Amino acid sequence: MRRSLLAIVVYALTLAASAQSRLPPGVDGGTGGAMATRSVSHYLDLERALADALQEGRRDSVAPMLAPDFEARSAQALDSVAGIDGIAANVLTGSAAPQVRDLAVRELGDVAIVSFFLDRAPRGPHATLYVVDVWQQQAGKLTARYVSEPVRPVAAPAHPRGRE
Amino acid sequence: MLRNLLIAALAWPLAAVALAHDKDKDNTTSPFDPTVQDLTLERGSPPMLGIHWAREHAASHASRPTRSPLMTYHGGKIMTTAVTQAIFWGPSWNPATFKGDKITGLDSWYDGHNNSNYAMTVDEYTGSNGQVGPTSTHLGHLIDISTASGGNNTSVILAEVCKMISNPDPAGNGYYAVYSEVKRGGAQYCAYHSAGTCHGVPVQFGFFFNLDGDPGCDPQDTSGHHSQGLAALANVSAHELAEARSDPASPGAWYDSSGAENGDKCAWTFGAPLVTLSNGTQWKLQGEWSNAAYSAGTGYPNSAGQKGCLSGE
Repeated sequence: MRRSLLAIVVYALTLAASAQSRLPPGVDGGTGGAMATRSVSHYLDLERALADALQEGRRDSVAPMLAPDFEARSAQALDSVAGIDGIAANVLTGSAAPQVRDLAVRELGDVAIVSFFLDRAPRGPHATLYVVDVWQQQAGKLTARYVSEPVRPVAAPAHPRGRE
Repeated sequence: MLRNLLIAALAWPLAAVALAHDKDKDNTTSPFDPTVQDLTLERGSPPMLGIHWAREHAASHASRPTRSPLMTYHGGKIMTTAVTQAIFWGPSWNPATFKGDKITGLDSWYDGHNNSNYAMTVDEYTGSNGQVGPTSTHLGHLIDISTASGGNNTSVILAEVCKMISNPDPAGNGYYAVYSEVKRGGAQYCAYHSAGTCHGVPVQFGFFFNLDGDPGCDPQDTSGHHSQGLAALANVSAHELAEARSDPASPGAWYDSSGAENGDKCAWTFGAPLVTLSNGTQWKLQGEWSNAAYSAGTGYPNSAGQKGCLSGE
């Protein structure tokens, strides 16, 4: 039953992603357009650096970004997986650079809850993930990652929209 | 009890998605003025097709392309010059207590932008209609004390522009900046730029939240030259105008592989304590990305350490 509840929570988070406060439709003429807040800009840099390092298999770059007790959970395997193995589980090895988009940040003291869509290549029905990361702000360490798949195809923009 | 909780957990996000999806279905005609068309609204969002909980498919590409920090050209127009006008929207813009130094300050900022070294940081970019130029003409400001909107509907902002600007620049170089009294709340952005048409004439427009006391959008100008709210609006105004000049409208002109425009790539990084504009006024302004400066190694670093930002100082 606990697993069912956890699955439902992840499912609800995934659905809620589509409704959270992001740019309104059509902002920007199809390109960048909006000026992100300081915190969104900061975590976009971190998440993109992390995604690139994972994609390129640079474990030496990934390890310093993770808290010692880091763990990842996904809707496909509810048991936690610790360390780099946990965060690397959703990388499509050898594919083109992933895109981080529609990032939002909620700051609660030293904790930042960062949510975004991760578009992996090649594009396909299961290429996009919805990721919720929990960062320790002072230490700059990622302490937890929750991953699920959107319940409907979330169209990537015709071309990337960057800091939206 | 548990069943009720489960039903609630399922129903809430479904309702939220339904609402968001309904908003996505907006057509391009403004609900406020049928002569107003927003050229940027997305159409045809895919319907909800159901859940596929399959595992990822592994790709087998042999190598991964290196991500370049350079912006590339995408075939669209740029702004060869800018005809700017500010619109201050909301009843709060009437009393002196709220507007303070913001209206006169922003008029001065736009005046000083013309032919400034700061404006020239964008001049290297070309488009299908020519090259970005450093000149701009500021037509002053208008005040609309009707109830203002937040930024979550571009059609509403465009309709406000079309309501207030009866004769947009016929050459399509009009850039109209809407400064709302509404605060940002939970929005993840400080401002944006977009494009549309008013009575058939292409226009560029910007939207700006009220940034008084908003640390998420504050450049932390300690010079004492301006109020905090004005300094914040000036910095985001610089960002949006620079982007509008180099990447004004669909299909887009200059942005990088992540979609970041010249303002995005240098957001919240400052090359000098203060930037001096052509009228002598000084402001704390973020830099703008220059491909040329990055290639020559003459820019200052952005937050990712890439040395391609210029502030014109």
